[in-house]
Amino acid sequence: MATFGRQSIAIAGMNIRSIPQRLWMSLSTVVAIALVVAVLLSFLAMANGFRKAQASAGAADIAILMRDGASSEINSVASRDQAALVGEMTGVARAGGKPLISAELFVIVDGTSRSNGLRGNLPLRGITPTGIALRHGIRITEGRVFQPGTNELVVGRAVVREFVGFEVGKTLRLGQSTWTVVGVFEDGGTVRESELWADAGVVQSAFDRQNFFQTIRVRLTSPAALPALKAAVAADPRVQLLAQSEADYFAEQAKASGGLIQALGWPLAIIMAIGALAGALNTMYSSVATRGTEIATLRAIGFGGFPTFVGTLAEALFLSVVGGLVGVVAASLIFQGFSAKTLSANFTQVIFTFQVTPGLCVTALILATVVGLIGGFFPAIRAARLPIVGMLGDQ
Amino acid sequence: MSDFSFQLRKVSKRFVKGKETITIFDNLDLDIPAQDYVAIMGPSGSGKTTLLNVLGGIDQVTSGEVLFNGQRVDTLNEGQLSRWRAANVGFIFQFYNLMPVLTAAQNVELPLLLTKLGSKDRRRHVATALDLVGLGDRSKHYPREMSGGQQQRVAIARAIVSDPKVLLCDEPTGDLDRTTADEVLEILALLNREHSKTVIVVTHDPEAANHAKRTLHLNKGIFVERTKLA
Ligand SMILES: Nc1ncnc2c1ncn2[C@@H]1O[C@H](COP(=O)(O)OP(=O)(O)O)[C@@H](O)[C@H]1O
Ligand SMILES: [Mg+2]
Repeated sequence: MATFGRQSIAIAGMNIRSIPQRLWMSLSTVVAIALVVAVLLSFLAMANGFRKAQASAGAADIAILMRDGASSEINSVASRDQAALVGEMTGVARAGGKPLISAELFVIVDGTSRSNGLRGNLPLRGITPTGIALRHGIRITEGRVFQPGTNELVVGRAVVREFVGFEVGKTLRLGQSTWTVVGVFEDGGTVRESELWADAGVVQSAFDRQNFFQTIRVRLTSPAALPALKAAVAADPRVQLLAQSEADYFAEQAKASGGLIQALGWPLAIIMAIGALAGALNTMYSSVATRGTEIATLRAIGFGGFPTFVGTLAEALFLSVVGGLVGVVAASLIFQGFSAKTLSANFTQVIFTFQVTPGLCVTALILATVVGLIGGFFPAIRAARLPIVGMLGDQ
Repeated sequence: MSDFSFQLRKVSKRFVKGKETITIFDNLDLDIPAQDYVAIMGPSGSGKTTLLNVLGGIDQVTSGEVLFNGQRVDTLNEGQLSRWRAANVGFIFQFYNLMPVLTAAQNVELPLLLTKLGSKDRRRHVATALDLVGLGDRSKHYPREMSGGQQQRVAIARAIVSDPKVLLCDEPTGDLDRTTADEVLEILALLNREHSKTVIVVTHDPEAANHAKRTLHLNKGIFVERTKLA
């Protein structure tokens, strides 16, 4: 019918304007949907923040070499001799005739959490100025870098934020030595901000690891040079290491934990969504019931069944979209930038912030809309099939 | 074209309730000429509302034929009936059945949403209809802000705004005091007299019947007619 749209808009408008007559019921539906959206969004934002912290730490033109079979830095080992051999291989970039290579230690130390006073694992990285230069985007925000050969620490800003006693100037005991914090660095919120850095040689002696490292990092002449380096490593029996791009390494690390967070979030959100759906159905059936005479009157006047269906569905969608928006706004206000810690694959604390993005908001809103569509569909069918006779208030 | 609004031919209406069949009317014949003003009276449960619903195309007959202007109505499907109702009949109910969330003007506008009229034309028709029932100054009022009599006048404006030939009124004064009931009856008489509407009123109110040109008494499925003496 030509006036179908007009009829639908009129009925939808009336239904939405009559929501205050069912205020508490409608409000509870909105709140239930808002909760679903907020919970889903918080999990998605958490997973996203974690992934971003991990994944953005990796560059495509940096190769990281670990012992064949090691799944993360902590269970890798590499010797000084192997590092020297890798430095001469094809694909490794050079500056001033010297290869851009960094052999690094990775040891686990203790920190005390600010929020709950519990001990947590922190990664201490033994590194050289070349190693720091191999990381893009590092910025010293306070103090300075450690002096090679001294017991000085430079720490990621997330460590300062989340753990006690890592401010510049503080001294602390790690391993068999006393250390002084001389600087704080920032790395755009990546997983590296959860690390402590000190001179590689000093860490080796403090932790009794002479001549051994965990990983070797090299700058590639270009990301395309990776296959050549991989081949060269594989061809040398003295080097029992495996090369991969830093980007791939971090992405792989992020997958497990980020996936776990999402795997928890979706079922929880869907169970809650089913609860909200029950509420939405209840609200909409009662809306149809209280509007019985109005619907019959409109039908008697000549309004169609399908516009009645659409108008009722529109009311449910309205409630769910309002609930969805409330949930998105609430989750964004509460969780955006919310800081959290979790164990990484290295068994050290990864400190990251929740990242609410427009894409995640859309995903959460789609869930709200689905709840509205289903919650409105069956009541809308009932509305469209309501008989006219006997519903007009006559005797 | 026939000059009859409605013609019922051997119309029967039965309800099946469990094992029982209730017959409301059996082989009923009725002619309502165009521009007639007929009151239908009868005891409660005698089938007055059912008859009005059959005439208005919102209830089906069990057998027989319903003709409007010589055309069968009882054979139309639901969509066709909706369109037929929108074009040809206006309903007036005992409890007004206004939409509480709409103003008087918005209530009156509803039937026009089923036409192709633009918003300017719709506003003009709404104003004319409200003026005709004497509520030109109440267009922005909501039903809850009006008396029963005023609400029924808004309902009449809604029934006539798309200019249908027939008004079907079910106990239109049943909820009103004498004075406001009389005002409403005056308007119906005016619509019949000056605007050539066919008016069919189901009522308990003898005064309402007095306004009509003739009164049909429905009892046990049969009509007894008493034509008013001029
Ligand atoms: N859907 C129905 N099913 C069964 N009986 C019905 C139904 N609708 C009306 N009736 C019966 O039909 C009779 C006539 O009803 P109605 O037309 O409303 O009478 P009136 O308007 O004269 O009071 C009543 O006895 C009523 O109980
Ligand atoms: Mg009745």
